[in-house]
Amino acid sequence: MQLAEKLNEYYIRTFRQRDEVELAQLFNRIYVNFAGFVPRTPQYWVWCCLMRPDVNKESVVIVNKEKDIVGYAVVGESGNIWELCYDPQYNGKIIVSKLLNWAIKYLEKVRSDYIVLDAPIKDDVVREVCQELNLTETTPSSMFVSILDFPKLICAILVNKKEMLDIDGLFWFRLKGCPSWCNNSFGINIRAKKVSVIEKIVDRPEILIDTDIFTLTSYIFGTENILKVIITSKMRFHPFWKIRKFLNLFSLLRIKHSWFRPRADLG
Amino acid sequence: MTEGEEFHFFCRRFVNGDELALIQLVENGFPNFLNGNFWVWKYRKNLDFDPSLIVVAEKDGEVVGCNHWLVRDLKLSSSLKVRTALGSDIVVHPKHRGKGVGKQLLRFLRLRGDYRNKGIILNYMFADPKLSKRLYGPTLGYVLAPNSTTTYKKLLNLRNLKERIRKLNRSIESKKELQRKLKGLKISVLFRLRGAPLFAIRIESNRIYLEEGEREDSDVVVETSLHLLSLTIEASNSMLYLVKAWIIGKVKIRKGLLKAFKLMKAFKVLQLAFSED
Repeated sequence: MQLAEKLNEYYIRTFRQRDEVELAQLFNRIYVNFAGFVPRTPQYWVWCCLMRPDVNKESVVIVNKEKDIVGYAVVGESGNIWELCYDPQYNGKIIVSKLLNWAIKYLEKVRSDYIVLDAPIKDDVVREVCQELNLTETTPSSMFVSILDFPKLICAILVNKKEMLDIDGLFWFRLKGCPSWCNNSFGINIRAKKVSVIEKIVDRPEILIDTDIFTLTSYIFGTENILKVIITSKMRFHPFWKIRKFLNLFSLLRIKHSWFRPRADLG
Repeated sequence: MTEGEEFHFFCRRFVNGDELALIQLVENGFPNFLNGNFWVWKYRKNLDFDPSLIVVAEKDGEVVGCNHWLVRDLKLSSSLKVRTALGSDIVVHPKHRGKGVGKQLLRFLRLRGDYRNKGIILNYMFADPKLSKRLYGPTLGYVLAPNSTTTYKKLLNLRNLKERIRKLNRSIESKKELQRKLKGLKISVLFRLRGAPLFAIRIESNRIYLEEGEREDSDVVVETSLHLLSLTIEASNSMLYLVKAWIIGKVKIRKGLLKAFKLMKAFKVLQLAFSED
């Protein structure tokens, strides 16, 4: 099929009432394997995108193939593409080209000074189209995390991986450098795939883990390596012969998903 | 209320009537960002708006700082989402910076512990890495989150650059030091930047001119990306950074390499034009 014919299969339009349900679904489906963003509900999407002061119905552009929505971009008059999403089951290059060409024309019309968008690093389709349109890659905003409640977060992660929870035991954490609002000593008790938090030590823990909040946070979020933190003594555990159990626990605690944060989530 | 250590101020929760002062503070703090209805949209119209998660720093009845927490469910994996708070629009009035206001604003909600009843277990924010290393990390335990995101940018016009050159020309007229730097310097540099329209900068008789589009009569042609040029300008030793980038091929000088000395001299002046005020 000729490219021109292919291009005609995809048509572009602006937002219509009730599109938000399909757009939120598309977003969640496309970014299902990513973490670090707010999962979209239609209500959240309407607030986050449509109600934004620099966005209106005419600046939300949608690409359809027949009746299906296969991509969209939320273009802010400020020059920000707050969200850009396309279904890779269709011809991504055509969809992204249509969306970005439309966005550039719109932004020139509203006299915006620049166009800026965020995309996953490994999205080669967006990279290729951006190169063709002379957009340059730049440093994204840095995101920082701080855990307010270590026991609860650890519990939530372990409960979520219940089916892989083949270790039983009481693991006692002692955290250095804890600010006053954080619990610096707590136990995680795992029995028959059930996880509970123990605030006061009542029994001899099976494994005692000594570390600091930065090391534990970095490890959980995947920016520290377990071997490195053990070798550098940033994390110690006792008794050493229970290393297998310790490693099992820590392999479950690690968040392994790639983090993508759409521009709309910045604020 | 939490008393500031050296400077007399206190932090408290948001109350009705603070809104206008906060809007003004946020808009002044982020002049290049959105204004107008931004605060109202972001907080008042937010489905999860919780005024008890907004902190205000007050000095002699005047609002001098603020910190907002926005409650959000953040996805941590395909099947796990947790209740979090996005720390947002943390602003201290420029007059009162460096006096511990920011630190108290950041600590207030944590010390109060209200977030526990709301199920919030994680706090996150978007910040300048330098500031985070100095302030947010040591004080509050923030660590850099993993990142698989990249940003693409393109300048659609040269309006801002033109404005900066206009300001620079006004400064040249009034400052003898700048006039000395430019004395005898006559050069035209064409910039072919990825992510920006083509433009040339011509320095001639104590004046700088911006010319849009291709210029065949330029003395030097510089090819790089908009991003790299910004990094060069922001670098503490920008001359060294530029030379390094040229050696590794990230900056290409297509024409007029023999005028390198003149170009270096011109670059110092151009830095003033490119850099933000």
